Amino acid sequence: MIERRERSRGPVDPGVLEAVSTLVIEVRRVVEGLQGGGHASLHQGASVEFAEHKKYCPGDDIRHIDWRALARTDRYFIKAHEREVTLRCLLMLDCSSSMAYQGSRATRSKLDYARVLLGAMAHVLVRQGDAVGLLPFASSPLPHLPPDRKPEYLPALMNRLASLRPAQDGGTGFVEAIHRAADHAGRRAMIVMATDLWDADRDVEVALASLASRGHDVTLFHVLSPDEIDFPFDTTATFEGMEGDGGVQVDPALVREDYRRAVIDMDLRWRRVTGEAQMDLVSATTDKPPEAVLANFASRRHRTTRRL
Amino acid sequence: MTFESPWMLLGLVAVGAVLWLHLAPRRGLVIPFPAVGMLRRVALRRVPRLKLRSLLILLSRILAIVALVLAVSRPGLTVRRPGGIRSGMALVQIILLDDSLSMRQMDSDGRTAFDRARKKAVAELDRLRPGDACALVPTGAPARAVRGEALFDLESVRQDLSAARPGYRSGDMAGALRLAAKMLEDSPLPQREVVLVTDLADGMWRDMDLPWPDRTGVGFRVIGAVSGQPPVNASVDRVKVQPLGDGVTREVEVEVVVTNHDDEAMVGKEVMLELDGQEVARGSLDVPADGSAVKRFHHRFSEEGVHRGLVWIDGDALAEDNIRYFTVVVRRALIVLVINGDYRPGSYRDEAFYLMRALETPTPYDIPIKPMVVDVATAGAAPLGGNDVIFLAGVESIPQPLANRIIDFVRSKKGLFIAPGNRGTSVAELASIIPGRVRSVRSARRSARAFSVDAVNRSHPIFSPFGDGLTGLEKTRIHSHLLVDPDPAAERSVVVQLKGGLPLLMERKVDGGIVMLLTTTLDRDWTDLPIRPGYLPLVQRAARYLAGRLGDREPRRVSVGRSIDLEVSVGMRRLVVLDPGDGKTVFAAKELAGRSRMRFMGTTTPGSYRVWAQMPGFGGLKELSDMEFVVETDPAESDLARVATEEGSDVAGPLEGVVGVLPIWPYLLLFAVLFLLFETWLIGHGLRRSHVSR
Repeated sequence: MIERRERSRGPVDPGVLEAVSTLVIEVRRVVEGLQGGGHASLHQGASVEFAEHKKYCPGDDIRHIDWRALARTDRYFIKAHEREVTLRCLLMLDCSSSMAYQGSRATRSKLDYARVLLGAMAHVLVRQGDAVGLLPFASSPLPHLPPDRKPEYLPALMNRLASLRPAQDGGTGFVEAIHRAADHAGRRAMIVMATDLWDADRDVEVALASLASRGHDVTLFHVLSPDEIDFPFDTTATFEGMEGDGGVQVDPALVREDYRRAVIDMDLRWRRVTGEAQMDLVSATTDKPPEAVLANFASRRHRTTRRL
Repeated sequence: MTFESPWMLLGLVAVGAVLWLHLAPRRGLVIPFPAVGMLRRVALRRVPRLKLRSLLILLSRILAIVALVLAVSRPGLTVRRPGGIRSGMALVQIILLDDSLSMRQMDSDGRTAFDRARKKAVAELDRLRPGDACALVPTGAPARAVRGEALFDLESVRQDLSAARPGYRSGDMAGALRLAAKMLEDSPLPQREVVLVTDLADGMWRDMDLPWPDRTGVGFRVIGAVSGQPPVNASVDRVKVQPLGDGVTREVEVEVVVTNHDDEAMVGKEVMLELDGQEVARGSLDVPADGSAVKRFHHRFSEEGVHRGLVWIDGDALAEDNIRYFTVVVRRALIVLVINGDYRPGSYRDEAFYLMRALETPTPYDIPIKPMVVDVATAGAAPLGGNDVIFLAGVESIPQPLANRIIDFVRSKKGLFIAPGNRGTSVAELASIIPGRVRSVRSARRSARAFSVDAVNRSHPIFSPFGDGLTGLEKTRIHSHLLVDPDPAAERSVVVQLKGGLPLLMERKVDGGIVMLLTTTLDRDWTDLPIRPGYLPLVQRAARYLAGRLGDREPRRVSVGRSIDLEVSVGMRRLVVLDPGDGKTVFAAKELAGRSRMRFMGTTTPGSYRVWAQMPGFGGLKELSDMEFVVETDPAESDLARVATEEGSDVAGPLEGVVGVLPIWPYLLLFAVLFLLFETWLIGHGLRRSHVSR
C-alpha cells in the first residue's frame, strides 16, 4: 500500500529509491543506538561481541571485571565488548511557503524535491535498521514523528512525509524547529535538514552550531530552484515575496549581476558556518536528479569517514 | 526665435506622455519569488545608481523629444551678424538691388549711388562659391526679377548686374521682398539669404509694412551703397495747371511746389517755366529747411489745343527730380444753358435742381461744364449763341420767338436736350426739330408697376465707355413718361428704351445739330432717375455729346513704372505710344481686337507720352490728344535722408526686425539623435553587463 501511494503521490520516486538503495551512509561519528546494527562504534561498552581485555584501572565499572581471568591470573581485567549501535536520524523538512517555489526550469517544487531526498534517506536508513524520525517545521509547530527503527514504521513516515503541505503564513520558525530537534534527537543523532535557508539569520547559525556542538551529526540540504540562483527573468516585474514579506519591483537586467553575487556570497557564508560547526552542507538544486545529489553526499561522507 | 511651422510645437505634449509612462505605477507582471528579501537588499544597494540612471534616461527621452519637436517646427534664431550667415552648406542668395530714382544721386566724385551699389553687389556675388545660386531683383516699382529663378550660373548674374541701370522709379521694397521670398521658397538649397544693396534712403521704407511671409531660416543683410552725410537736394514735387476765369480767355495758372530736403533753408531758388519748348517765365523763391514753397506762374495761351511744358529748378545731387513735366489742354469750358420751366431757386422741387448739381460736378480729366440756369422769360431776352448746349427742363411751352431762336441754335450745329415737367410738355413750337410728336402722358396705375429700362444702345457715344458693364440705369423706375409718335420723315434713333419698346431717350440730328428728348422728367416728379448712379454720367456725357466735345479730356498722370490703361475703340487698327525719348510702343490690330482697354506698361521715363491711333476710315495715324498722359517721378524718392549713417551696420528704425534668421533645427536634430543614443546606451549598458555575467 505504501508503494502504491508513493507511485500515486510521488513523494518517493521508485527510481530514486533504486538509486539510493546502493547508497551507503557513513556517519562521521558513532551515535549511540538502542539497538545494534551495522554501524561499528568507536565507543566500547555493553554488548554481546567480546572485543579485548584491558587492565583494570580505578574508576572502571567493577561490573565489567572478568572474574574468571582474575581466578586464573590473579589480576584484574576488564572485559571490553565492541558495542553495536543503532543510528538515530531525525529528518527535518522546511515546510515554509517559500518551499512551494518551483521556477521555470525545474520539474517539481523545492518541497517536493526535499520530500524525495528525505524519503529516500529514510527508506535506506530504515532498511539498514536505523531509527528514523521526521520533524517538519514552519512558522507554526507541526506534528513530528519520533525516530523508530521498525520496518513497519516506514510507511507511516512516508505517509506523513507525503502529506506535508507548504505553510500558508509567512516565516520558517528555524530556531524553534532546531530547539525541538535538539529535544527529540536524544544524545547524539544524525540530523538532516532540507531547507532553502532564505529565512535563516544569525540566530539560526548559532542554533545550528549549538546543535552540532552537542554531538549531533548535522547535514543541511540547501534546496534551491535554479531560478533562485540565476535570476533569469527578462522583463521588469513585481517580485512578490512568498512568506508575506512584500514585493519589490525591479528590472531584472539591472540587478541580475548583484543578485547572483549575493547568492554566491550566501552560499559561501553557509559553507563557512557549517564548516566551522563541523556540519555538512549539500547544495541541492532542483533541476538536478535527486539520486545524483544523494550519491554525491554519500561519497563525500564516505571519504570523510575514511579520513577519520 | 521664429518658427517656420509653429503648430508642430503641439508635439511637445508627447513629453507628458513620456513622463506618464515613466513615472506612472506599473502593476504589470507579478512574479512570486522566495528570495524577495535578498532581491530587495540588492535593489536597495543599487537604488541611488538606479535612480540616477532612471533620471538620466527620463531626461534623455524628454530632451530628445523636445529637440525633435523643436527641430520639426523649424526654428530660427533672430540674429544680427554683419558678415551674414554662412556655413558649409550651399547658399541661395537674392540680391535686391535698389535701382530707384534716388540711386541716381551723384557724389562729389561724379559717381552715382547706383554705381557704388552695383560694385558692392558684385562683391557679394564674388563671395559665393560653386554650387551656390543667386538672383538679381531690382527694387524699382514694380519690383521684378531679372530671371525667373535663382541661377547656379553666377556668371549670368554678373552679366545681369553689369547690364543693370538706375531708373526713375520709386522703391518697391514690399514687392521685392515678396519676389525674394518666392524665389527662396522655390530653391532647394538649405541656406537662404537676402542681401539688399541700397542708398538707405528714408523714402524707401516710409509707410511700408514689410511683407515678409516667412523669414524662418532666411538671413537678411542690408548693405549701404553710400556713406557720409546725404547730399543737398531740392525737388519739384508738384505742378498744377488750372484755367483762370470762365475758361474763355485761355489763361492758366501754373502752380509749382518746390521742396527742400536739406536741413538748411534755400534762398533765391530759381524756378523756370517752359512751354512748348520755350522758356516763358522764370522766378525765384525761398524754400525753408525741410519744407516746401509754392511758386505760381500765369500764362495766356494764344490758341486752344494741347500744350506741353516743364518746370525746372537749379541742379543739385539728384538732377532728375529738378524737372517736372506737364501737359495742359487749353479749351474753354463747356457752356450749358438750362431753361427752367419751374424755376424755384434753392428748392429741391426746382425742375433743374438735380440737373444743375449733376452738370456742376467735376469729373477727373474731363473738361469742366459751366451750366447757367434761367427761366423761360429770361431766356427769351438772353443771347443763345455763346452756349454749347441748351437744356429745356420742364418747359411746358415756350414763346414762338424763343422757339425760333432755339431752332436756329440747333441748326448752327449745337445741341438741345428736352425733358418734360410734371405737367408734361408739348413743345409744339419745336415740332420741326424734336425726335417725335408728343401725344400724351402715360402713367403707371400703381407704384409697383412702374416702368423700367429695357435696353440701352451701348454703341452710342454716350454709353460706349460702359462696354458691357452696368450703366447705372438698370434699376431706374419710371412712373410716368411721354408717349411720342414717331415721325417717319425724321432721322430719329432711340438711345434708351423702356420695357414694351417705348422710347425713354431718343435723338434727332438736324442740320449738324442734335436734339435729344428724354420722355420723363429730370427731377423726381415722374421717376427716381436723378438718384440713380447712371444719372450723372448720363447728363454730363449727353451735354458733351450734344456739344460735340465728348472726347475733350485733361491728360492723365501716372507715376514712373505704373501701368496705364488706354481706351481701344471698335475697329482700331493700330495704337502707338510715343515716349519722351521718342521711343515707340506699337500695339497691332491683332492685340487690339476684342479689347476695350490696352494696358501700357512702358512708363519708364518721366515726361509726356503721346498717343496715335489708326482708325477705320482714316488713311494714317491720327493723334488722340485726349489719350495723352504724363509720367511723373515719385516725390518720395527725392528725400535722400538715410535711415542709418554707418554702412550697413545700423539699420535702426523702420528696419528694426529685418534681421537674419539663423536656422538651428539641424543642431536640434543632432541633439535629438545624441540624446536618443545616450538613452539607448544607458539602457543597453545594464543589459550588456547582465548578459556577460550569465
